[in-house]
Amino acid sequence: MNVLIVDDNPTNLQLLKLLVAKVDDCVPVAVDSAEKALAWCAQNEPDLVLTDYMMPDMDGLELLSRLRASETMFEVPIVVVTTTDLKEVRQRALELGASDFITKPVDPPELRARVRNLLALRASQMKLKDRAAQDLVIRLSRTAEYRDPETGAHIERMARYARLIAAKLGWSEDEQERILMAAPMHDIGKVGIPDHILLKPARLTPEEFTAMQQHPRLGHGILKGSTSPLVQMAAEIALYHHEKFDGGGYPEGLKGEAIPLTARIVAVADVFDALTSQRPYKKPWTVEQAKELLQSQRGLHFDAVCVDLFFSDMDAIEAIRSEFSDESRGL
Amino acid sequence: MNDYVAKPIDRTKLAEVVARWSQNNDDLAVTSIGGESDDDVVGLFNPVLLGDLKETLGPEAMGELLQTYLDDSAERLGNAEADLAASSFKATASEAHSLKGASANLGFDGLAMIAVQLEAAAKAADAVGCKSEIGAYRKALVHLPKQLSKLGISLPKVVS
Repeated sequence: MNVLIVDDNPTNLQLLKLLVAKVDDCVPVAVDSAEKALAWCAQNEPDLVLTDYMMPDMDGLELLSRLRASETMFEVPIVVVTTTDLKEVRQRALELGASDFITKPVDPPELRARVRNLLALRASQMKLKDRAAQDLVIRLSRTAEYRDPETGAHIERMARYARLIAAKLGWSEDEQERILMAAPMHDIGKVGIPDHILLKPARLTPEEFTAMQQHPRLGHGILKGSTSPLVQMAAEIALYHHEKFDGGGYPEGLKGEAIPLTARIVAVADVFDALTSQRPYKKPWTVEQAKELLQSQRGLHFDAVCVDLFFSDMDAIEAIRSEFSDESRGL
Repeated sequence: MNDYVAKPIDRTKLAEVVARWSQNNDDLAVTSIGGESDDDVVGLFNPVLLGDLKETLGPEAMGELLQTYLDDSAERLGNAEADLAASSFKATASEAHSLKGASANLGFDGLAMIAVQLEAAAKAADAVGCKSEIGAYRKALVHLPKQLSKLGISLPKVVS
């Protein structure tokens, strides 16, 4: 989780950064002014903000009230670091929405404990949002199935392949669960593709193909702007799952690590399952054939790391295939 | 109220009061390890905090942190002097405040005390007092690395 630390004094800034780095799963981001903090927040989302009170130019309270007034930062935990003698400052900070205080001199065990507590609070805040969205997410995924000539079992398998890769990448349980729930919505944009193109049994004309290629943007349009991390992830996957590692994909032609990792994972999971599935126009490939193709596309279509991690556990792949076979859903 | 320290603060008296009250509480123990420096440098540390930091961060990060502190403190003292020359007491006080916070955060209670007095002198527009506190702070900074090395904390080695 990202912890944004704001202090104009380099000693304090370095000290806080070192202490925060000792907390599990914490990535400290240190800036030496409130202005820089606001600039960072415009591009990123912190999970916790630690700000000094007394700073030249904009002080900690001004920063606090600006963050609270913003649409996306209004509920991020914010801790104000003050000296004990500033009682009225602490009162004002509370009124402005400070989540907690840390007094100077900073007590290292106390700081770590508070940071840990507030991050736990943040994590459950995020989980609640996901849970609120989850029911609709499942229904939306079902909607996508209706519009897709592919089977429901395909969705089940590709989501589990995606989770498998995420697990191999060392993602936390929460994040693995998130990609499992988010991946099924990758093709939701197909609800906006006309039937005569989506269901056309023959090869698409160039114009039809261009229309078909709109589905990532359409899907992103449906999912973007949510406060739920789950739906945010789904929006990202929907937009980028047709990008290719070498830059030859669409809609933006992003290259390499500029493509979000979630989408690089889903690209592997989705294509592998498409190849190994039966379709009206093709026989299913064997796992070996599909593996060979994906491996030949390491660094071209796919992220080599994702491909290698995926095929590092053939047993897990087979287990998913047999648990969610097309027959099991009674085609 | 259990005790009091009269303003303007006298360094020795303040140290006495702090020492008296901290004897009852190990967590707040303040030890003098000034030792061999016979001038008026106050060699006071908060050993509990310092020990905690050392243990948490490790000697290497601790040394780097110390270097940052020394560099920044030297810069702030220079600024304070320039502010003083321009009779800008408010700016001097703000540098002193920053020195106080950083010193206290690292457990350099002796230096923090000098900073407290510098801040007080600046707020009272006492130029002579400010000058003497800046001098005292400078001296204390010079002795700091040696005193800390006794606690097993040393500056990062300069690779040239």
